[in-house]
Amino acid sequence: MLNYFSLLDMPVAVDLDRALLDLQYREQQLRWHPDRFAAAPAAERQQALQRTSLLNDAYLVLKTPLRRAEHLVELLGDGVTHNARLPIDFLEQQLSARESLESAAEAHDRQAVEVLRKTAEASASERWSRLREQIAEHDLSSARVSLQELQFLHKFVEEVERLEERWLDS
Amino acid sequence: MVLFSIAEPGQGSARQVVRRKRAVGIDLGTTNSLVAVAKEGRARVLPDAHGNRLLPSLVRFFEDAVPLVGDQALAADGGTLVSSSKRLLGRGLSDINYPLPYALQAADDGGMVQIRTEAGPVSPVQVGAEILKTLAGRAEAALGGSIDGVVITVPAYFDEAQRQSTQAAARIAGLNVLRLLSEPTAAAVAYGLDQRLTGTVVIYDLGGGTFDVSLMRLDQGVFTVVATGGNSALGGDDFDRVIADWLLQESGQPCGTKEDYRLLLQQARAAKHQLSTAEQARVQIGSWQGSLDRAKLQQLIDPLLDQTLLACRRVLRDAGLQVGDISDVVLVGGSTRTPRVRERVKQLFGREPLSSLDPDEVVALGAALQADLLVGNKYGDAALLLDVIPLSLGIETMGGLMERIVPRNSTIPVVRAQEFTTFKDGQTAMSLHVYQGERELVSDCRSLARFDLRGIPPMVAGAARVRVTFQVDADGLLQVQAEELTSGVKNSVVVKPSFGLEETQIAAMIRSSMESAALDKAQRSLRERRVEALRHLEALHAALQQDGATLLDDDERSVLERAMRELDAATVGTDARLIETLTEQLNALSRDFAGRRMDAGIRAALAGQQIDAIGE
Repeated sequence: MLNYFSLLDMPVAVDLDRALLDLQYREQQLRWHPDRFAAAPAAERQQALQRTSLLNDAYLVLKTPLRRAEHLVELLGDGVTHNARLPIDFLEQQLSARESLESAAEAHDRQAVEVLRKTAEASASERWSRLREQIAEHDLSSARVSLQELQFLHKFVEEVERLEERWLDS
Repeated sequence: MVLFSIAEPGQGSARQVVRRKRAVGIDLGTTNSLVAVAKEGRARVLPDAHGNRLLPSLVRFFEDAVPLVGDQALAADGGTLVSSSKRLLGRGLSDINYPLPYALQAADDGGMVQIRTEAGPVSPVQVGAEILKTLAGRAEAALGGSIDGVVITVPAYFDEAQRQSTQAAARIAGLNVLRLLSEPTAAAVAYGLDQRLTGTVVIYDLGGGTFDVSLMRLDQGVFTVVATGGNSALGGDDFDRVIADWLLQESGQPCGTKEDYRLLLQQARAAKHQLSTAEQARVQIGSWQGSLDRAKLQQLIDPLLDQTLLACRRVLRDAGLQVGDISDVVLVGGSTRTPRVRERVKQLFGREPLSSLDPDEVVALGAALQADLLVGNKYGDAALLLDVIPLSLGIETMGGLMERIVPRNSTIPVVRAQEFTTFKDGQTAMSLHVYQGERELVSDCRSLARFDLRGIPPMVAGAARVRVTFQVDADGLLQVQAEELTSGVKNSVVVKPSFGLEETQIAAMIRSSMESAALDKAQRSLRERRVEALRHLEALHAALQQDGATLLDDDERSVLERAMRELDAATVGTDARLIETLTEQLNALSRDFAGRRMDAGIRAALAGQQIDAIGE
């Protein structure tokens, strides 16, 4: 499978230097963008198009922490993607958080929504440290569980944000 | 003496100089269009022969003559005057739910709407092509040669069909399109290159009919569009409408006809323009007299401005940025001349917005700068523009739902793939319907194209694996491919929008345009011959009056006068060659007479000189 880290000449790691990433992306775009090949033969133009499409994808994945971690775990597991089994108590927590969010939304209870967001964010940051350790120890099956839990939490925070946006707009 | 030609060794002839390529930027606007050229990072608008910079986006079509464009179209009578055709590009008849001063009809194939004119049905694409031809002609005259390539700007919110229609118009006009560029992006390029602006910049673009807002990062020659948003049905025209409605209510005057309302809108616009500089504008409707002041105007347009500011905040959120992260705000579009617009934008961003480049010209200037770079005229720092797609692209899935494959604000070029499967046992074909838009239901999105993947081997439901790949190139144009992975069956389409034009239609338009170009050339040549003949006749007439009696005998004079009558009669006709032949004949016959007049003149002059000389 394609290694986005090496495509953008970045060290393979959970955390990366964002300024360096931006710089690498810029350099590669300056070199490969189709505008640089406006007068080139069709085959070269096609290559430039494919190359920059990949670069854009790689950049998007690497600059988004959760997607970057997913890509890393996939790379470490030789491209294998497993659906991890999530612990039942985590799923129960998520269900009740969702219910609380719904009732808080109906009641326009901004404070309750804010508490729910804080709880989810704390839970996510705890899983991030777990994930870092699991990757360091090459415990991929546990890392996949953490990743999937992070996805749940991430979606929850997104929903909270959407709700807050709606309140802001009205 | 031998003259050496000066040439670098190995270069052959000295005449083989690498010509600087001629590339221009064109802002093809709803109301006005303009063309600009750039050199070494500075851009300028190219005016016409009379010094006019803006070309009204108007074309007048006639039954038996070539169309007139711009001010000429406005000044002429008869025929059919087509305005605001940009709003019809890539649109079907059912999309047009507002009044227009001309009639529309559905195309035979149910595709893009057509305009009924004296010249027959005309596609909005052909109207665009006429405007582009006029602008290209203006550029060729100014730059002294044919144009190698153009960058044409489109609103950020233009969808696939509208973009492809714009490109088709350029092809019909015989232009090589280097790039379609979003208008707000073009404005940012102008500020970034021409004004050396850097940082995170908001482009607030309020035109007559659309509002676009873009967030861009300008950084050492790399311009990245971070997010775009806006409202494709909100603009200065809406200001006119709310003012007109208020005037109607205040005056209590009846407004029966469309024509009444059109005149009312004109008055509303005039009042709005006055209030850009004055505190108060007087308005008279019938016997009613009243006035509109700035406070009232604010009250009327503030709800509209609220909508634009909401879109600005949304774009900031899309980009994950705060107001404090913005280093500058740039105003684009004629409607930003209204002081209240400036005020509200300033309030939101907490800084004075920039408008050092003319808001009507800035888009064309940016397009020119980009055209110069794309055509390969390099200078200084390399500049690169990274644009995004303004609307999400996806396909319809079960239950009429939109499955997004490429989300909006993705940097282009972009390629994205997603796998789908069959719904029924033994299903051998899959119909793919491509949509553009942000809503959950495809019925609320815009249909772009539909194609089938056939020959899937029969399998149980859910066993087939169909990978659908969307590729959007740097122009924002989409190609979709579908492949069944277990069997390798493939199909792909370059998306032909439902309201686009077929390749054969474009080819036919190019042909007819070339024919009309030949006709146009013939008409121009006739006009030129006529003018020359008449000028000649007039001069000869005056000469005969003055010297005919003294320098010509009766025979000579009558031959000359017969030739003059013949030419005079020919100028009323349409045979350019006959006029030319007769003009030449008259020239030959009058050469002797001209010579004698010259001699007489020199004698007189010499005589005068001698007197002067004696006087010294």
